[in-house]
Amino acid sequence: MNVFLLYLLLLKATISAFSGMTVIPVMRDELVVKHHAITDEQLNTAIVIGRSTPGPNGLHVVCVGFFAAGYPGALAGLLALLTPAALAVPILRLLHAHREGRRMRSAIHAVVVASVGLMVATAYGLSASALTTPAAWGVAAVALAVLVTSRIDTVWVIAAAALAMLALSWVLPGLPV
Amino acid sequence: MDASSKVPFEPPSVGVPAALAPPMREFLWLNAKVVNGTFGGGSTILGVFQRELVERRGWLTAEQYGLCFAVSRITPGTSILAFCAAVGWRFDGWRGAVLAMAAAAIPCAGIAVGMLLAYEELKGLAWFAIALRGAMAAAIGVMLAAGWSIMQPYWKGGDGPRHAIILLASIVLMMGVRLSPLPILGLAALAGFLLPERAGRGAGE
Repeated sequence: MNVFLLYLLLLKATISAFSGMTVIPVMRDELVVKHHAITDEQLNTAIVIGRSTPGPNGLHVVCVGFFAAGYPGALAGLLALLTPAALAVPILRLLHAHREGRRMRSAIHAVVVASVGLMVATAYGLSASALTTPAAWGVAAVALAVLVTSRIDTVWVIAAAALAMLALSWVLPGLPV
Repeated sequence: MDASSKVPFEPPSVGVPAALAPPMREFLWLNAKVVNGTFGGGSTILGVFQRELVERRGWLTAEQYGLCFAVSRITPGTSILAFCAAVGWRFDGWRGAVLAMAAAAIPCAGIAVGMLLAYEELKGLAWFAIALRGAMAAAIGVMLAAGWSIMQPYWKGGDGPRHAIILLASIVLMMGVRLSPLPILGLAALAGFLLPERAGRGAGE
């Protein structure tokens, strides 16, 4: 895939999102559904690796870039991650001009909430490739419950899920995992 | 963290008083160490920054930290990188912003690519494939939990029902109408702008 186009598509995802995970709906729409540059499985792997790496939440953008176009793609992903952050400086000035802007604040809140809706819809789309067995559904449900009810770091939950699946396959060899 | 909503959006003066300005090399090293050495994403990292920049080193006042925090929450993209850009800019203008972002993002991006290469080597092994299926199932839980966490401040106050409607509408527009994400976000922004919240402040900032 053309690296500049990849950068633009990833930038479209990062610049329209307000947290690391909310870039995923746009990335899936552009790179999985429209351009077929990566698969759902690769996107899911990117999420796993991005969440298992120290640092910002958006590192799956770098992983997606790597899957789509190798090292140049990873660089495109890194640049797509950094570009919107540079907007922080002009936003400081813009906010000063509109510091009483109730409408602007309200619009931002609406975008954040809508982003969560898109995350839910995307999680449903990804579940077709990730949740193919009852064991996988169980692991996903337990992971969700643990993350919602505790402050355990995500990386430990993902590692425990991987170990749990391995343990299930050894203890119950006939169980589809 | 709530202090951010009380901080006026005043323009920062580039740089801080000379007596308090950190040597850039020291700041960049701290920046790289905190961002690349902390698991748990933005909220965790911002908590560590608050302790290091405000409490331990005194390079930022609580108000300055609050302003940078607020800006990071409303800048598109990854909030922690926006925070680094804002703090770097305070210390050394655009040069500081660019260097701070680079110090924050490049090492962990390298780690992520290294993990991908290891994944490519290992993915043919049966035990690794099984473990990966477990991790991928957990990733679905991670996404939903992240959504749950983001929504928490938005349920509170008089605007909770309004936010619930926006949430449901965006799900229906994507899954039912199959609209692309960007128009959905645009519609949400338009709705928020034309029909401002009653409370008008607080959530998400």
